This record gives sequence, structure tokens and C-alpha cells, in this order.
Amino acid sequence: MASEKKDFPYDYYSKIYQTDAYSCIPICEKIVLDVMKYKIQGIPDLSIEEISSIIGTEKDGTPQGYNVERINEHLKLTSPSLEFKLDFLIPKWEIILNEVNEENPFKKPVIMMIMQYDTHELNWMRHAVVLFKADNKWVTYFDPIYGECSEPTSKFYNQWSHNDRLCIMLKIGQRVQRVLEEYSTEVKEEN
Amino acid sequence: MAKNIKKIANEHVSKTYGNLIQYDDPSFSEINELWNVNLKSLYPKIIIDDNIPPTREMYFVTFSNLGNIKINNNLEIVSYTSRKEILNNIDNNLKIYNDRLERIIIKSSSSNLIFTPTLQHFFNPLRRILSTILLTGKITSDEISVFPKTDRAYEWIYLLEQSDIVKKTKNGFEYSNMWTMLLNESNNIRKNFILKLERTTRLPRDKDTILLNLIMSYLLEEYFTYIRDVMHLRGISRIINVNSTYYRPCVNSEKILKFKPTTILYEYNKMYPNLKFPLISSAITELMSVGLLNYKDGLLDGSDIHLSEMMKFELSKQISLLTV
Repeated sequence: MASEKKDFPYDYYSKIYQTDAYSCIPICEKIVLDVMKYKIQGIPDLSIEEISSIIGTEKDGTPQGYNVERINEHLKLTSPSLEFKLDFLIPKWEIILNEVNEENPFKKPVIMMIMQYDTHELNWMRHAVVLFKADNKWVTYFDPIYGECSEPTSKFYNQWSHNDRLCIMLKIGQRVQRVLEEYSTEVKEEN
Repeated sequence: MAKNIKKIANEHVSKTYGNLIQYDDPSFSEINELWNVNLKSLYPKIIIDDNIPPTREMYFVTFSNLGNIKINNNLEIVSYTSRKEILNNIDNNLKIYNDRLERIIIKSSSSNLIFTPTLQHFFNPLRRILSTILLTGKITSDEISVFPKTDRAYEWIYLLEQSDIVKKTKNGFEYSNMWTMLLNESNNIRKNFILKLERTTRLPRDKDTILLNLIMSYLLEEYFTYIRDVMHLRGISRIINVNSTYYRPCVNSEKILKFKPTTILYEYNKMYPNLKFPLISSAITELMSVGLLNYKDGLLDGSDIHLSEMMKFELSKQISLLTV
């Protein structure tokens, strides 16, 4: 449990709830970036407003296209490399489970685009949440509106399927990084 | 065919607009031989109740007509509403929604709002006019001319005349049909107001004073925006806005909620010009003094009676009628 707390600092979530109608995707990207700061160096400290501006979030929300990957332009100095990758219809549930549960090399939260219900479960909207714990029976995720939620995998899977099984996964160490700043700092220190 | 049209619409909506935009099933128009896909949104309202433990809830407001996509039989998109227009339409819908909600809240709480020191101050010339008519049956032009601000007095008279509460005579004004109606308690809505006033023990009970208050609350609920924007009595806005800030989420969630005073300030500043806490604190205590808000254990809550009256206006039905 201790290592899980380190991966997903629960206290932190209470500070990052969604208060407007439309910022779920930027908030989820912010959460993922902040969580990954524990493991990856060079992640910039971007505010939710900055992320919104980068990925095109407006009062109607965020388009669910490749614009969500525009954040990668601001992650060029991370070590190892870190990229957001949009996937839809392709990912299988097993892949998601691996991303969330596999410790090596990195345990990676996944942003899942689901159909989220209102409080009375009468209607739904397309909504982003961060999945950080899952198996075939139960999932636990952070919802920027409701907070930490746990529910049966069957229900969650349906909510996800109805939004084209859209998700944003992390790719780590797959891009060759050339970080001149780091190199120059090392050389100076040696001299 | 319709299935393919839906697929194209789905792809277009996902990539062009934000995730809050949804679409209706396509419909074919024989006139221009195009498929029309209506764009809509169930716009979320997030409500945070500061009660212990705090709870977060979400409700939707329906914006049923935000734009459209036209697709021909070759499965090509012929035209579509731009994202900029969609954003404009969301803004307009939100304005209409908030305006309607505010009117409903004022309508349901006006009989208490008029007892706040702020409203009593700004409505004082009106009270003078009504008291004179109540005690002498009329008010003459000579009597109006001794008011400190004659123009203001005539603005109030104009509103009373518009509402058929007073009518013009040869040399002044006297009570008219609506006045008599209120006095005879023949109007059911007015009767409810009286019942409500009587339930609040600290408020006046004699029928003549009640009548004056009824007339004042009636003018407030019917002409609030006119009084604020045309008569320029902007000083009444803050207390009305603080009241709306509290009750707006309660109407959404259909129950009385508890908020920290600082939450009220945060929500107020999202809707209205930015203020520091001392500038809304007196409005909060004024609302407490007339039973619209209560303060206990560091949390503010409201009045069940007023909320149930707000709910009677069947808000959801009204909002679903919104079109752009």
C-alpha cells in the first residue's frame, strides 16, 4: 500500500477537483503529469489553464482528437521521454490492465474517456477520468467531478465502450531524447 | 444510410467540438435532399455541498439546439456550425438559463427580500407613495412634488400604474383594480404570499402593512431588471445576487445545501464582478435577518419553504424550451 500511495498521492487529488463544466481532460492530463513527476525528470509545471490552452479546451470541452497530444510539444526535455498517445477502438482491456498494474518499467495511469452519468444517473456526457487501479472485477479511478470512485468493471467498461473505447495512454522512453541543457550542466560540473 | 450518416456525424463531432457536444439522430429533408444532424449539449452543473462530509454532485442543463451538420447522400459534409458559433451559442444559452433562474429565485423570495435593510432603503420613496394612498385613498401631484427626488417618485408611480395598482385622476393618483384585488385577497398567488409572511413571526401581521409589503414584493419580482437597469437602483443588486448565488445550486439539486461563507464568495465571483469577502458579508447577514439564510456551525443554509416555491416553477421544463 505504501508504494501505491507514493504512485498516486491521494491527498493531492482533493486540490484539483473540477469546478467548471469543461476542464476534465486538462485536469486529467495535469494529474497524470504530476503523478509521473515522482518517476520522470524534467516534467514542466504546467497549470490547468496552460494545458487547456495547449490542447484547445473551451466552454464546450476538449475535442476528442489528436489535439490532446499537443501537450507532447512541452515534454521534450523529460528523461526518459514521456508522450501522451490517443487511442480509440484499438486498445484491449488487457492492455489497459497492464498499463495500470504493471510495475516495470513504470506503472502508468490511463486517461479513460467514458460516458459519465449525472447524480441521478438519468443522463450522461462524454467525460475524462484517470484510471489508476483495475482488475476484471473492480476499478478505481479519479473523476475530476466526483473524486475517487470505485465501481464494478462491467459497468465501467460499458461507460468506456459507449465512448468508442477512447483513452489516452502514456508512452515512456520510446523517443530518443537530446537534452543539451543537461549535457552542458554535466560538463560544467566536471570542469 | 442513416447508420453511415451517424458514423460521419460522430467522427465530425468528436474531432471538431469539445466533449460536451452531443448530437441527435439524423433526419432527412426531402426539400434540399440533405441529412440534418442537430447539435445539442447536456451541460454539466457541478455542485459542491460543504456539509460534513462534503459531497459533490452533477446535474445537466439541456441546451437542445446549438447548431447542425448537413450531410448529402454521398456521405459528404456540406456545411456545419463552426466551433466558434457553438461556443457563442453555449454562452447565450447560459445567459438565458441564469437569467431565468435568477427571476425564479427573486419571484420566490421577494416577499422576504423587501424586508432587508438594503431594499427598505431603496424602496423608501415607494413606501411613502403607498402609505399616502393607503391612509388617504389618493396621492396628489402637489404631494408628490414635496418628495426629495420627484423624478424618482414618478418612476415608482409609473410602475404602479403599469401594474394597474394605481390609476391617474385629475390631480394625482388613486388605487386601482390590482390594489383592490390584493386587498381582497382574491388572488391566489397573493394569498400564498400572505400565508408565507404569517409563517415568519417577526414580520408584520396587520393586513394594511401586509398589503404594502405585498405590493412592494410584487414590483420587485415583476420589475427587478427594470428597477436595476433603467431606474439605476444598482445598489439592490448585490443582495439579490448573493441570494441567487445560494439558491441557484439548490434549485439544480432540488434540496437545501450547506455552504461555507467563503464558498458563497467563490461562487459569487464566478458569476458577478469580483468582490472581496467584506463586501458580501453584510448581504449575507441581511439575508439571515429575513429568514432566507441561516448560519450554524460555520455553514450557511437556506429556507425549505422558499426552495419548494422555486421548484414549483418547473424549471427543467422551461430550460428545455431554450432555443438559439
